Amino acid sequence: MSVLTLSFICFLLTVLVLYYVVPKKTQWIVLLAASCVFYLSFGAKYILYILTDSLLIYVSARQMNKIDEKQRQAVRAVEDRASKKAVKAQFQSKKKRLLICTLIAVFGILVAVKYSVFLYRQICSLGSLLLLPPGFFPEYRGLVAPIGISFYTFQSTGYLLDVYWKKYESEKNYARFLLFVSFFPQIIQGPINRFDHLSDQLFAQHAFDYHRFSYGCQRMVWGFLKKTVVADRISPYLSDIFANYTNSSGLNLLCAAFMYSVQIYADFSGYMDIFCGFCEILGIDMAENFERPYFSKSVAEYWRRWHITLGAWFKDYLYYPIALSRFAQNSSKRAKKRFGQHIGKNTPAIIALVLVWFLTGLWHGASWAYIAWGGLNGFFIIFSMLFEPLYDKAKSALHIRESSRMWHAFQVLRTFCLVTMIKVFPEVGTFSDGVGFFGSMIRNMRIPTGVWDILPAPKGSLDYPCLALMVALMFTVSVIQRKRSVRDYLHEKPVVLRWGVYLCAVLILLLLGGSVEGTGGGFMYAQF
Amino acid sequence: MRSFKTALCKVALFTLIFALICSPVVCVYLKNGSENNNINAQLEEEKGKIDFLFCGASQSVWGFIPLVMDAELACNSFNISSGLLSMEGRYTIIRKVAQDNPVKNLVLDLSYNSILREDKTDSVEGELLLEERLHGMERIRYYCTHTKVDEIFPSFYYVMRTGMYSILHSFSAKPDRGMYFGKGYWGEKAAIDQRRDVRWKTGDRQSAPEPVDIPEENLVYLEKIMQFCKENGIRVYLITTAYPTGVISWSDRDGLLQAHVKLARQYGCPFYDVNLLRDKDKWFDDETSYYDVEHTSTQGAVAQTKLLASWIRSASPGVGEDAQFYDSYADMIDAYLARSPEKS
Repeated sequence: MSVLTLSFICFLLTVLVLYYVVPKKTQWIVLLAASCVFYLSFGAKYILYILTDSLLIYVSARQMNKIDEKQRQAVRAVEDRASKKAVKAQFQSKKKRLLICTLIAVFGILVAVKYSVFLYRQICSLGSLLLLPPGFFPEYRGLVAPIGISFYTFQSTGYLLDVYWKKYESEKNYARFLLFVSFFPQIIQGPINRFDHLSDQLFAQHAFDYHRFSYGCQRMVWGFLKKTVVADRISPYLSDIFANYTNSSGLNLLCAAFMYSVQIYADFSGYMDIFCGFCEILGIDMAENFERPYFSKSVAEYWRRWHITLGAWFKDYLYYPIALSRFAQNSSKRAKKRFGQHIGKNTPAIIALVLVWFLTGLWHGASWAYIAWGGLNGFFIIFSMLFEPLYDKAKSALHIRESSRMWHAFQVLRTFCLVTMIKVFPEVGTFSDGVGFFGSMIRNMRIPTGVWDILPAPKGSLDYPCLALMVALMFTVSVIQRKRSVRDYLHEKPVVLRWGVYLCAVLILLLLGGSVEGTGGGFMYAQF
Repeated sequence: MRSFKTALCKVALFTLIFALICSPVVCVYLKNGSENNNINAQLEEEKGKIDFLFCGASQSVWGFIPLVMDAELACNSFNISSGLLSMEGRYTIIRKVAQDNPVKNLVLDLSYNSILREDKTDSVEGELLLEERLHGMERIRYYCTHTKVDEIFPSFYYVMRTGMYSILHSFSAKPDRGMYFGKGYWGEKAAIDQRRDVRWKTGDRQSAPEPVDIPEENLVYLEKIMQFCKENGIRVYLITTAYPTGVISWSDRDGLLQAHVKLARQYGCPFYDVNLLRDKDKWFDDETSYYDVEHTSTQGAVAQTKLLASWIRSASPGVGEDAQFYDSYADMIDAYLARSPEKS
């Protein structure tokens, strides 16, 4: 089911009406049914993956709770401390084995559908290096990845790890757990919700609230505007330039990189706004994925404000366990002795960051380009971490005030340029395409003779005015949001002005969003 | 519950205000339609006098000039084609015009993909263009029965865009595109489309034609057109219009040709494929006869209409029966390559 169609809006309306018409106790069943219908609309066979994943995690989490219960009983049955410790260790080891087996099974499915072709190609490349004859390896096209598999795999494994770490009890009802995993507003491209945050809201009883309805609708319209008027309008320009980067001027390529930054933000945050807005109407607050990311002052801060739930997942379930592991702590001690206090202190973080960014790259796509993209992000974060004392010295030498506006603006601009250049790298195509893109950008850089030497030639007369208007609007909204919600701001205005804004927004959406052909429906992050 | 009622009332009020704001533009659209398709007034003027019809999609809109046909065959022809017109749309408009006029001949354009389209049209535009030629309840009925849920937003956009264009155009002195020659024909200047040689040069030809799968619905409406024509004594000529020779190496060409010939034999009418004409180069020139890869320029349309008139005059039985046509695209391409080896 394409999100940018009237049939999808009809689907949302049906869900909304049913949700508030049925007895409040059964509201979650409406959501489960809607999630199944939504997921089935992408293909019936894909539901098998999500059912298998959720069943594995559900059974495993229930089993963990049973092990904990048995452990408590066994510990109570023995008297001395040593025996208690031995019993605990025995049960913990069993639980750990169960966790590892489940994670292997769940991530095994993810690897099989998403990474098997990539891995197979690497094996084939190795084979050709070992001079194996061509055709030695039969052709392998891989499996078709079900939509949202990366997102629901991470969400469900996060739940399993939380249960393992006894953050909360496992869910007893499989249908309820299935709803948590397959909840349709999050299934295509997140956010990666946490069970303790979402489950209470999913299963609570919600009464219709006009205020939430109004705010939710406003957010949805804003999301549709960003997606259809900005992201989909930029898309054909970038397809052309990325496919033909060798013949484009350097400034065109530079401009395309910045356009890509705008496009991916409008696309991803537009999707979030559409679905978070809808959830708001349902009385459910989903985890936020963006916090004005292009106003970040460093790459590390940017990643705390862009795709927040993915970053938080990696932080909680990978970064901390690695940074706090015995190996990392021992490495830190060794590094302190050898390289000094500063490097030693940061060693656990560096070890964890290397692995986190390798996996973040791989999560985004099974290609060397994405691995390189992850590596570049990690490199800049580690680099700034290691050279922080040097920056501080330089700042004091140059008499730069940390609180000055100019310095703040410089940092924001520098970070925006940096993340834009990193971001565009895997989007061009393969690793060599990414390198070639930047090579062409430098090689073909020349003094512009006209505006179309900088901007890609327009495909429609309305394209650049529309984009300029919407980017200015997005910027203004971000600036206002720094202090307060734009919707609160609008809410205080006179009704004529408020409704004027709403009418304009819907009119712009239908007129300017409707003019973009052939790109509607697809969201960029759905491919990850 | 009160909150729910408030929401419903406000949504209804919002929709009403929105409809009021949009209504002037929609009214202008409903009155004027789109410029290139606005032939209703002339159709009204000619009512009861038209005896020759051209019907098809965009290839036909820009492919046949009624004034040329009138001079060639001493008839009173009219081009009722419109862009992206589906088979069902053709049946609807042919029936409507033929009921008001003593039509004796119908040229039905089957150019390349028009009979293969899965959906009624590639976009909503075809259906809306057809609806512009219908009136009152007929128009409302057609819209309600032919517009899918997901076509409502794009059709709203089309209506608003066309209406706005019409309003803005009323302030401007000269139209900015096309030349109206009358009787449903809009002329286009020759242009060289950069895409024209791409497919040819790849040499992606199949060794044997594959049978094409014509959607059932298209066959049903073709049958209805044929039945209607038979009942009303209308002679039908099936035709595929001219394309720049460089682009017609499309792999299913021969499969489609076989389907066209089979249909022509089934209904006992001649089928002409301009691209298979052995001396096509004498009539068409890649530089001047086309304005893009799929449509003829005015110069190409003149040649095409004259050719068609000559075939009708000489009662040519068409492809497969007449020696002036190649029997297949494979033969035509081989002959072309033999003449211009640098193209292969």
